[in-house]
Amino acid sequence: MVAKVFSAEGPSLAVNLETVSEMMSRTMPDFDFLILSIHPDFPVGDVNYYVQKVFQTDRYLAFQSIDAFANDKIVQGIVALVLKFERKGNVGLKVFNGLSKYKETDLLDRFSDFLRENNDKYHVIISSPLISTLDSFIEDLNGQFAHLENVVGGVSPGFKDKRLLAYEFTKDSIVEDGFAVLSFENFAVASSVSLGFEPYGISYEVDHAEANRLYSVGKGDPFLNVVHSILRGISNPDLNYLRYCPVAFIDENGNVQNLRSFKDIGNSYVEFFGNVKRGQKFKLSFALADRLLDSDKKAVMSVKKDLKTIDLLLNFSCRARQYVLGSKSVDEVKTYMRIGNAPLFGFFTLGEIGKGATSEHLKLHNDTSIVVGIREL
Amino acid sequence: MNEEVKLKILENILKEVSRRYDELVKLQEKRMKQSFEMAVRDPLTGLYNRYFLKDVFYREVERAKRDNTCIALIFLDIDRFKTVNDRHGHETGDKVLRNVAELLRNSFRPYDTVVRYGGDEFVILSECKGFDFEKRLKELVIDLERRFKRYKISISYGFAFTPKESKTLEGTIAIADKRMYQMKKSKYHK
Repeated sequence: MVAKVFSAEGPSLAVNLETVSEMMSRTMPDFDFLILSIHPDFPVGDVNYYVQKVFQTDRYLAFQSIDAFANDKIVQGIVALVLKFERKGNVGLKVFNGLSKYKETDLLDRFSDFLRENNDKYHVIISSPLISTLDSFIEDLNGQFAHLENVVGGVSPGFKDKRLLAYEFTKDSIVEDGFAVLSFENFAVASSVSLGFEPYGISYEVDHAEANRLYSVGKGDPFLNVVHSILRGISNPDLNYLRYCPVAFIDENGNVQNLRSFKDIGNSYVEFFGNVKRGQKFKLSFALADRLLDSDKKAVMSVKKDLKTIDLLLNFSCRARQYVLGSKSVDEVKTYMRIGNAPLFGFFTLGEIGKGATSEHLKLHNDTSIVVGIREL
Repeated sequence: MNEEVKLKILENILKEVSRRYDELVKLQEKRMKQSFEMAVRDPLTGLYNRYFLKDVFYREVERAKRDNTCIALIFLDIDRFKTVNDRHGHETGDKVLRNVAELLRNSFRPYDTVVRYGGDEFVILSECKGFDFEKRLKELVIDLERRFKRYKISISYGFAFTPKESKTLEGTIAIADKRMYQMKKSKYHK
């Protein structure tokens, strides 16, 4: 498979797409599938029209993302991943709508059936940012399978009027309440989850939680007090400061299962980018940029070791990591490209979908960087 | 985010982690104490049990040897306790045992060890020096008979001195028990 990544950062959607198309025409005039990251500032209603007009194709998936990766650059604009298959490789696209009301419909069953019927393919999910619902959906999905190792993905980051909102675009639809699935057929795929945050101290046990809101721990102690103590002594404390210390959920052996980023602080609760359940145990964690980058390096080396040669790297990296990485944000993708030695496409997410750090079940992660290597068979 | 803020957050996390550790250590200590108490206390009367007696006996003997003093082991038994259970039921029997235990606890010094040895038997370890326990025991008999007049119970006792008469717990109890039995015999077989 030949994979190339192009980008443009101008103020106009149409002009950016034209710029990308021109770059493509010089090195890749012919392609089989197109994946586009579109900044949320561009008008939603224009996306499908201009993509189809400029690229003259209906074989595409576009999605909104504030920052996306074009090889070793972080771009706020348009990033295009162009794929040309050389042997038997193929990418299918399917959209699943109605995520917010999935408990009242047969969405879970339909998606489960889809995965069963296509269990020889590798599926990449790009989802709308219905965080809490998606987390529940993934958990329910796990109940249908012994393990799910051929699914990975990211949650689109987009905001409108301070509300999380992001769309996926296909030739037939604009998806606000669902997710798109790209199914890679006849590819060897390897993925690895990079954590980097170290847990510290004694674990807390969730006492009272509702969806993604945590109220109390232990014997009814308000967790808000712990958060306030972390921010004590800092003038004008900002929620973003808590990006350095997501909570780390641990399994019965004390191993980190997944992380949860702080989303909001209420009057009596703390909100996360993912659900929290009574009885779960977690610890406070902390990381500096270099620790995250070390973990990234190990992740991509693991993928490289599994695949030997890589045609394309995909990366779903949590937006929260940006705050910790700071000026070293771009070092993450540089590391992946340097070691993976392949074109790289991805974006900063509001949640990453991948297998658990210590389990074969699928999880909605926070604060991780999932790197995926793909090679056409 | 500036370095100062990062360091402050890390400092605050360390403080929170330390607070949690302190909390946990206190809780563990409390639980250990509770477990120990459960292991060495008789659940009905709250007195120490025979397991604790063994432990404390040898410590007291060593101390007595060092200080060149002696320890009195008093073996005490409630007379006619069986009739309390037979006539008034086990619930009343338990209540009587609890009250007798309290009376015994209050009749000796705080640093004497009062143990429920089993059933209606009690053992008291008391330092010989500075305490006229023979007199105290006689007063105890009168006090108990008066308080429990309704049940017509009394107590018989015998005592032995350690390390003078025996250095082992079993040996000292055997001597005291024999003397208690002699007292009982002389009381009820006149």
